[in-house]
Amino acid sequence: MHIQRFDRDYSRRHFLAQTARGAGRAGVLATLWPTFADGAGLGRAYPEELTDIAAFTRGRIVAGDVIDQDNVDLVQDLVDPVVYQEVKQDRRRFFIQPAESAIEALFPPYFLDATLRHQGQAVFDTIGNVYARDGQRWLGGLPFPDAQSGAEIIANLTLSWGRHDRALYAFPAVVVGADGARQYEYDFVWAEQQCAGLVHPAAPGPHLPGYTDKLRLQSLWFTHTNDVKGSAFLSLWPYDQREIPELYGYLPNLKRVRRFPANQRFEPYMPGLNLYLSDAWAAGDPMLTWGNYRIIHRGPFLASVHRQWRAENANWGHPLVGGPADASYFYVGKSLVPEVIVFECEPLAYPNAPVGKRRVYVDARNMNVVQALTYDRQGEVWKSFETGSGQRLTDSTRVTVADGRIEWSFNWLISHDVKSHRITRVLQAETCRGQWRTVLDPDEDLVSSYMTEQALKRMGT
Amino acid sequence: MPSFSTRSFQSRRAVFGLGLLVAAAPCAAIDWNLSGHVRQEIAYSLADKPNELNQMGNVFNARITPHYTHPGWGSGVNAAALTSTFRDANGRAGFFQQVAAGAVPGGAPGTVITDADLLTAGAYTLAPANCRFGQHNAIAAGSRGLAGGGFRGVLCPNGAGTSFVPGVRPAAIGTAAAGSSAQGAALDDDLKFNLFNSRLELDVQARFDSEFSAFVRLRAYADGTSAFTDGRVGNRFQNPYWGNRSTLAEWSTPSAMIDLPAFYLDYHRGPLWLRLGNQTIAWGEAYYFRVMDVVNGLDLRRHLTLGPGGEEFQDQRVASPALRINYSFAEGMEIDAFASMFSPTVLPPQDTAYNLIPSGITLDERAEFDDAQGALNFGLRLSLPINSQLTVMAMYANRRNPDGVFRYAEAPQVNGGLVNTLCSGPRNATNNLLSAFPGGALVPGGPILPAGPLHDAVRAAGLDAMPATLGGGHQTLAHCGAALAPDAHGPGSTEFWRVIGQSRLDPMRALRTAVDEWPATQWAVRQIFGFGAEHNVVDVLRTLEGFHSQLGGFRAFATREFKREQVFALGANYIVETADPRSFFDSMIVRGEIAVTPGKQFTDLGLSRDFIEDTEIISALIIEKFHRFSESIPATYMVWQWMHREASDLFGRHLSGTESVPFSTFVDKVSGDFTPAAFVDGAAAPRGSGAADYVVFGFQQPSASLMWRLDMAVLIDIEGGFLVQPGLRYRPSDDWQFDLYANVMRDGGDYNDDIMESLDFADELFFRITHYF
Repeated sequence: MHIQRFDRDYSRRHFLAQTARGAGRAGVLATLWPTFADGAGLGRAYPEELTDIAAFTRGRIVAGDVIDQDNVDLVQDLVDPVVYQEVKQDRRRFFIQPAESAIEALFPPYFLDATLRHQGQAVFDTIGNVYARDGQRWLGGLPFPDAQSGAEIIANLTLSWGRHDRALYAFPAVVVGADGARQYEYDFVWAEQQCAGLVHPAAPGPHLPGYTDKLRLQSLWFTHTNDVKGSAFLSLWPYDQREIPELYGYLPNLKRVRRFPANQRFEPYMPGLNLYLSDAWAAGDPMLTWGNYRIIHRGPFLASVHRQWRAENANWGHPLVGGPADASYFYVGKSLVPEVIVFECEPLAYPNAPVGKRRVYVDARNMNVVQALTYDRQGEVWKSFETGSGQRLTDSTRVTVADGRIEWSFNWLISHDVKSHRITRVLQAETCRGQWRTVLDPDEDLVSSYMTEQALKRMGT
Repeated sequence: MPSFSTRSFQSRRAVFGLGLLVAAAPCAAIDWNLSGHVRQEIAYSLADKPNELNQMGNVFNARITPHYTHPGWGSGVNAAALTSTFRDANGRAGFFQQVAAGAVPGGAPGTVITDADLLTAGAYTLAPANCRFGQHNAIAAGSRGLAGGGFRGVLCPNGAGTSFVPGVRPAAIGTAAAGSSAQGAALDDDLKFNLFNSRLELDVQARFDSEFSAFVRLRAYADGTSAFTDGRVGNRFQNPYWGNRSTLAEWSTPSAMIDLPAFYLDYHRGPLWLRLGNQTIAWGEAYYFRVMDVVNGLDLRRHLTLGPGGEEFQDQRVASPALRINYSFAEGMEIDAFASMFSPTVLPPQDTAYNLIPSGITLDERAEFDDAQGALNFGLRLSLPINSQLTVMAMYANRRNPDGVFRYAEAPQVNGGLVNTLCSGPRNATNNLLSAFPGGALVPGGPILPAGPLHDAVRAAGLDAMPATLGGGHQTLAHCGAALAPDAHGPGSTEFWRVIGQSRLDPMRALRTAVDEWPATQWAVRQIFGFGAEHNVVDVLRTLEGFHSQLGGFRAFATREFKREQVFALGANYIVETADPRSFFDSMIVRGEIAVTPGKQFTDLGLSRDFIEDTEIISALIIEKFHRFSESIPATYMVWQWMHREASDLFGRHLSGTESVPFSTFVDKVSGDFTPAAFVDGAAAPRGSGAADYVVFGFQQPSASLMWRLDMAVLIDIEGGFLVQPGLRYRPSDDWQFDLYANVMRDGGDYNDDIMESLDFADELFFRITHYF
């Protein structure tokens, strides 16, 4: 008989106490971050019940099991309300993966290096922006890996979205209607370039030369369908998180780049899509334009945080499950995350925003968002923003950085508008129409290629 | 899984793409992508009257129109009104005037023309009325012409006709305008479907590597409107620019076209971007109002510019072969330059729903396009962000104006089956009259002429022989020497007045130019018949009705010249930021631009080759705002625009041609006699305007999911008149879209002073169903 040193209630009481204080460090048996960062694994920070689903469920659920409407009640406490409803009422299924305990499996290598290298150097200024102790813009990696407040967590999410200096993501996106039928299909490319917090060894320094007041440049262009193909948008993010990014757009109808007001961040990119500017990485707006960040919950959670890259499938696709046509959701694996930190926040700078608040679920180990729920002004859940991420690793394939360590990225997202029951699936794919390819830290000047007004015009049709 | 189907589809696309694009690199290394849409476009006319610029909608078709200078009209005083007479540089009068004065040996004054200095208005108005097919009828009735010459007269179905035509009922005089012409009425028809057209567009993209890519768009468009009318429908797509093609990369038939509105190769490296090939370039801050948007002309053959306002000129800009060079500097400064081959604005074809050219005018631009063909346009635009709120820009363009300026063109020797007896040459009616004149009075009561040939007498009178050197410096096609030709469908005198006014021209100048700038006409009208220059309404009607009496209606021939011009422009945009994000003004975008074209050439009000030269200043102020009025629906996009123009209206017509004077001003409605205004020199000239101002308000309101979108656009001409375009777009899935829009126009203010008077035939409901693939 396996003797547990701490019973289930111990961790539950610990999380309740931490939550009640509104602040606190992750970890139950020990503080997570220094322990985890030292490579000691999770066992020293969490009891077994939080690292092993079988222990948590007393053997009723084990790795390899499929969670469906018949057994989802066993893990109801480990999923958010939207995923629970999807499984319970919409025939969604997912399978249980063994838990991941290695820190390297949860970060891009260089971003992890920077996080470790810059530990303890991040401070908020009086406004609420993050700087290094020497006054520089942030140096790279998580500024607050051992986050103890909602403000620190949102800073972790906002200052680097994709956790690479630059990236190009090819996104086939599919919208499934309430009847389970495919309603819309859009392909778009998402490009990011960090201007502060560069982490790649080949970077000229922690900051991109010439962009002294910027946090990032980000562009987005559609390659399908025919009517929206060529529509392209460019956001220039100021480092000051009170400032709303400058937004430029190229619309094929107008044949020219126009400056757009960027304060309307709660409209779909395109008809049917659940995705808004505000949704990106659950931190799509400058963090100081939202407020009232507060931690409301800590505890274990089932999330898709590793082995989400399906290189063995065509275009890295996932099988589909659930919904009336059994094709609404990606069929993915989820493993037990010992501690997610759930925080809420409210939009402050957006009059008449349809959003009342956002509830964000963050894996305490890598400060990565695993789920975000958007609530309407009446306090009802409106839509979800569920993500999957992990290393570029399969049983037979791996993608490594220059020093041989395995790459990491997010892999997919599902946004479910529970009001209209419209589901948007976005896959980080190998390619999308227009033959754009996903590439992390490409050896290409993304700024001049994709992040200027000129580039928007060039890619437009 | 989208990726599974995508790959197999891409392989098929690659095969197709190879057929469309010639690639230098090995095909295996090229990434291809094909997409497109098919669309049915239907517009149903809501106008209470058809486009009267088309033959089938011409309100004069069935009319038997009176000649106000005929002795039988009204009290008869009009015919006796004195008009101007010709005097050449040496003070010599016209030949028949000299006869009347007794200056020609063998000749003698008649009872009517007794004053060598003044010509009566009705001296040569031998027909009390005119009508469609008038000359055809006269010929069919056995008319041998005036004094046996080429002037064959007219005969209308009610028996009214030229005095020398067999079958003319003298009793018709006085009731000449009665009845209607069944022949003309047969030309009437309706074109209720402004659009019933099918469109296919295919886009082929190819990426050769990270620096080279290419794009081809193929557009196939077939017109089906002709199936819904029995009226005359014009050639929808062909113009004599490149062969019979209207744009360079085009294949067309009278009812269908296939073109390549995009066919270019892109190269970019760092901040440099080059685009080479058939392309369009849009510059400027304003929507729809073209201030800096000067690079390309517009193709108006499909839906004029009446498509959804939010699509601006997407389907209209004329692509032309060009090299575009763009360089981005740090901090956002950008230089954009182009050199492109001239390609003209393609006008909506005549005798189609959106025709803007009266049916009595034939546009023949072949020679003038040849002159401009191959010309190079070029320009440069600098964009400079000053800060996060303000960006300024400057532009220079040197171009052949693609819109062109109109003037008379040379008429053909044979038109519509009739010999053009106005042309110089062996069949010239006036010359033949002089050759074979039997002697006696040319017109009843007119001066007595000796028997012909009279050419020696003409020379003896110090006047010219029929001109043999033709063209007057124009590029000529037919060596006619006249810009007019008798035409069965051509306008009579009152229709001429209406058409000239609608075209924002001056009727007196238009007639003077048609006579004086064209040697064959000048010789006949001035030197032989002795008609003086037309300075008032009586002069104009004398000349028109004198010749309409002999030849029926005339068709005028016109062309466009594409003059080089330089455009200088400045612009800026500014984003308003307020401390209170709830302020309506927060994130409002203010844009402005102004363009100056020194010495710009405009169409002369008389269609002369001496064009109006004026400095064109066009400015626009644009305010845009996205504002969320409610939590439950997305932000409303709103735009206000104001355009101010100093020299021309929105269609580029010089403002001196606006506010023409109605014909009713010059003829008493009860007695039919000329009013005093008819005798005032210049009284019929357009009053003109000092400036033109237009205001636009538009909004787009999407539904929460963007599946529905309500559009509204309002264009107001400050002179009076407006266009309202409400619309609804429904996008139920990614492969289908439905659009329902309406265009409703009302004119207002004075006569021919606002642009809506030129468009008010185009009230319509239009529907589009699009399938994307």
